[in-house]
Amino acid sequence: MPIDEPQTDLTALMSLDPLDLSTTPGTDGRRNLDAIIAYQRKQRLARKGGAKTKRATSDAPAVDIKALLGRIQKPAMTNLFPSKPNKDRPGIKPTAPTKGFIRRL
Amino acid sequence: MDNIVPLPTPSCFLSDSYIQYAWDSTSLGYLKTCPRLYYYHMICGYIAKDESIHLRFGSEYHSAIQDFEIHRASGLQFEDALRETVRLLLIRIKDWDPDITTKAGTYKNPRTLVQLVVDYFDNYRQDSAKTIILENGRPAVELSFRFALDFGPTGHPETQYMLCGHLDRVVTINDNVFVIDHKSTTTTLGDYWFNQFNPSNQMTLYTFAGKVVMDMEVKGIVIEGAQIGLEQFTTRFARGFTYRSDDLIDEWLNDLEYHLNAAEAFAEAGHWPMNDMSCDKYGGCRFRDVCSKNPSVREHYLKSDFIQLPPEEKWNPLKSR
Repeated sequence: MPIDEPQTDLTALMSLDPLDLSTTPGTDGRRNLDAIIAYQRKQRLARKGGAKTKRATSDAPAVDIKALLGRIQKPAMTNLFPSKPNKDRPGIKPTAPTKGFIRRL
Repeated sequence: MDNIVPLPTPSCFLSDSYIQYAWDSTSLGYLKTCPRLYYYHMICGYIAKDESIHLRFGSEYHSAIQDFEIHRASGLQFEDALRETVRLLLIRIKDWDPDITTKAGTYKNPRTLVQLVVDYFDNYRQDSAKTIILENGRPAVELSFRFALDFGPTGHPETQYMLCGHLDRVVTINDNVFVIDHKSTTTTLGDYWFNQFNPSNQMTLYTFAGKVVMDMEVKGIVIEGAQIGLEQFTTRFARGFTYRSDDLIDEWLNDLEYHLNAAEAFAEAGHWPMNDMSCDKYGGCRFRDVCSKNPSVREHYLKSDFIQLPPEEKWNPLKSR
């Protein structure tokens, strides 16, 4: 039997008027984040149990993440081969990266 | 300084020409698949209208995995790292509003993205793959690479070709080093799907790049597939391994010179021929309908069915993530 997505979760979240989502312990923001994660886990378990969930359609969003997001504040042919490739070279050895190579972290 | 304006990304083409000198697996893949496909994407900047949804979804998925690894490496416990990862994800996608009446938007939207991310981390909570920690203490995730080859365009001997890209994650599994590459798909994660990665332009390049970047004996690539169910949003994860010997890599590099010579010839001729044996691959080329029309009316179909990106938004292998 298809399950109705738990609108109560959304309603509860919406009614909390939470602070910004936050990871600070004890805040509404953290509770809301935890609620979102818990909701996803609950949905997964429901699917594994064989229950059908609604597709994302324009008229029936289950958890309105967009609404939740609204509460987030961003923190402060001519010649095919112009020259003949050198078949006799011993193998292409790339030059070691000097300064052009970036480790972006 | 308050107003730091990032320098514009340099062009991947030699000045005043369509000779591309900086290549990544995407642009090289287009070229190898069909020069006309390469022309439409890389030269003209056309993308399918729903392509931005796929790109954004994939980009955010990658970023979430990167965030999580960084938080774990900094000492956060699993749940704390996940909470922070989801928070950052929600902030980034705050204004992302894909059209969920389109096919792509039906299963790739903010809601399914958060679901996929939570499912992914839960699935790999007990993972045998351990992210390598670099000397600077950072995890080896989203490693960008650029390096020069020892040859360049034949008409521009002063220039060397460059290979560029991004390695999603470098890990050890049973003391062997692998590069992990994340893929999301709607196809069943079985042999049929994994076999497409051997041979594979991208996976050979990434094995090679992994060896250069990490200066380690990289065995190959772990393809980390995330299968997304269409009818109801479901997720399934599976890994496949693909190995590359040094001989295979050397052969790939040798062939690369021929491919890049061909690309130079196309650019100099101002003509990128159609490979009509590729049109039905991978479920059908997105430009198939355009190429099937008379040449005189193709422009009309391109304008109506595709988005032409401005020069600064075109695919550029030199662009940082």
